[in-house]
Amino acid sequence: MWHVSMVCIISSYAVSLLLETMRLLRNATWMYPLSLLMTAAGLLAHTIYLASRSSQVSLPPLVASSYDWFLVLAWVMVVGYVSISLVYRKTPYGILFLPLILLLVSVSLLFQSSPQPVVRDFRVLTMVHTASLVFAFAGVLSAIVLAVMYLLQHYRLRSGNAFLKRFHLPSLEQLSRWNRGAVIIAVPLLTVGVGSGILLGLRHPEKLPHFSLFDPLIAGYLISFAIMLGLFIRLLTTPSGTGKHMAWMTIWVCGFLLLSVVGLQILSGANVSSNNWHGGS
Amino acid sequence: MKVSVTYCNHETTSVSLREKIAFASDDDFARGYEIIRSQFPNHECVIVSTCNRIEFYLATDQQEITCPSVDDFVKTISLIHDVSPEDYQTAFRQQCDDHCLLHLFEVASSLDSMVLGEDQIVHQVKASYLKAQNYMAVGTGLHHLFQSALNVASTVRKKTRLSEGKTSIASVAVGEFGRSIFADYTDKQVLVIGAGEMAEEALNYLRDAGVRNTIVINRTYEKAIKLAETFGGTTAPFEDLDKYLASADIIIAATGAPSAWLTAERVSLARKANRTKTQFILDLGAPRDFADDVGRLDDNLFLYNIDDLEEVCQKNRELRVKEVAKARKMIEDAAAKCLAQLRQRNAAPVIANLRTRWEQIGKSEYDRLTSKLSHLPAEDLKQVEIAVDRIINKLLHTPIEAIRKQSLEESHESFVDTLKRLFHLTD
Repeated sequence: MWHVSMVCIISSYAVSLLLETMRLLRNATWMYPLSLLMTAAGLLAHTIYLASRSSQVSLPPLVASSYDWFLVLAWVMVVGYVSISLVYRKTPYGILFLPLILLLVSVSLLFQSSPQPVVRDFRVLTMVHTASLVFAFAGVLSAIVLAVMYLLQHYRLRSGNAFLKRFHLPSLEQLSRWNRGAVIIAVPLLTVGVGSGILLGLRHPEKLPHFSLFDPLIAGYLISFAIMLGLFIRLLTTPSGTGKHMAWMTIWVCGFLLLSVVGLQILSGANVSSNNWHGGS
Repeated sequence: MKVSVTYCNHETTSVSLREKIAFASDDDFARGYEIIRSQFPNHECVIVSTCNRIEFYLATDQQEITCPSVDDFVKTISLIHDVSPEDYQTAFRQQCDDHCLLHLFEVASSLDSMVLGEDQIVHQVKASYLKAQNYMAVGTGLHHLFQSALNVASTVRKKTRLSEGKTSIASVAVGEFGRSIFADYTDKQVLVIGAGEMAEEALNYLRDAGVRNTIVINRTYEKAIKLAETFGGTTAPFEDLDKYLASADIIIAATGAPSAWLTAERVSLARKANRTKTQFILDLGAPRDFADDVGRLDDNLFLYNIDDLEEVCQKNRELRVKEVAKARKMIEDAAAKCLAQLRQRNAAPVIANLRTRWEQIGKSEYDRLTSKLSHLPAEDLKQVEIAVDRIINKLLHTPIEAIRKQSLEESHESFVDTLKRLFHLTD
């Protein structure tokens, strides 16, 4: 049954992405509501799927497994995208958001969907850990999208590219502010997420015997986090509106964080015991 | 009367070519009128030179003179501005007679403008006409044409919605490009270089957009003070320009300088302290004030000139299609009326000539008769004189009416020629 639901979710988002791409090429008035309708249908299927998963495993979807965690992250991104789409109707923002959402849904399929037993013992702390990380990663993904938007707008203004002129984007100053805001929100949440994760491992060594700060997986996360913290400090110490350089830096740092986390999660499936909460398939 | 316009504009050529032949100063105009007068004697002339167009209106009453060709004009322009005629071979267009009329009316009504409905152009056309009067280059023909054009422009502005919304080049430029760079103008420092009409338009829009910190810099300090006072800004001496080139967020340049005087080296030096600062430079000058390579100095500098507005203005035009159709109908009606008046004006000397000739014949016949009938009392002779006048008037009535009627037709010139030959009339 879940295969059907995942197909349903992925197809809705894929059709919506197609419509959004067509909107950029040929802006017919009927395309926007249709695209929004397809995303809404996907979101509904996505929500029902998460709810049914939660009742199946008797755990909130956020904490059940990495599989559920990626699906929740995708869900948060869809809610964000739909909200933006309702406010800024002229611009097909789906071109930027939907590929990321599809990627997150696809990545979730790489992970085991069975719940980790350790979660049931420290539910509150695990909830804090996963929830803060979900919102932190939503911030990281938004920062990447905003940085890409900044670069597109910058290129459009500098080159006068006729095709991009149809892609109405907010001002450089606005994008720069939002980008800064997304990173500023993401980093504290990431700190809470990482901190609660370490606390979880250190306070309950009997339940997580393989937890170690020198574990390649944990060490990898910490290095990514430190780099992200570096960007955060740079953003706070540099006056706003410093432009293209900052946009590239956001893409590199956030992209690195995202790739390292996803990559390490996938690799951990082979190398790390499934007793570790972060253990994969 | 023969009228023609030879012109280049934002559609026919780039600003880099237009700026080389622009009439930026009084010296340029003086030289232009002098050379045109020597090249095309017996012609009235008005030169219209704005940031988007350079147009030469010529008119002559002498029917045997043919309109100067585009090539003739290109040669004349090369004499005025010392440019190579080859560069401008394809830049110029020409319209004659009724097409010329339509062109002038469309220009004055801003239908031919980059920003549809902008009202700057009507002031520019009027100023050009007054300037031509100062150079004694305008006669009754072009006077009638320009007066009609200004009247039509006023009617179009009042009776259509062409002038609603953003209708100045400056407002479209700041609105489109500025808004893509900055989200908020309230905390931005705006530097306006120049104190002319374009600078005023830009300040007008920026004030409405919420700009609070404006500095006006102009070579003539008094003009800068006057403009700054109008818009609640401040002024700075021309010597301090580099300081503000570094600190301003938005720079609008619209001076009448003859060439690009703000070079890449100068701007680079000004930005040396803070190259990460985002700056939006709008060069509305024609000739341009900023050198082309200023825009390539670094990634945080956005330089736009008049030609960059073309696509934005196309959107503005599409929004006003209905109003354009309405305006065009008014213009066509007014042009037809003006053309009829011009043609009737052309026929007037022929009518006067015909009447004089026939009255001379009548008078000589009357004189011959009075010498033979000297015995008749004065009262009878008066009756004879009245009778001769009435015969002449009745005989003239039909041909005069025919001339008047025919003068409204396009083929009136051949008809007038036939009459001249028929009645041995001379100009």
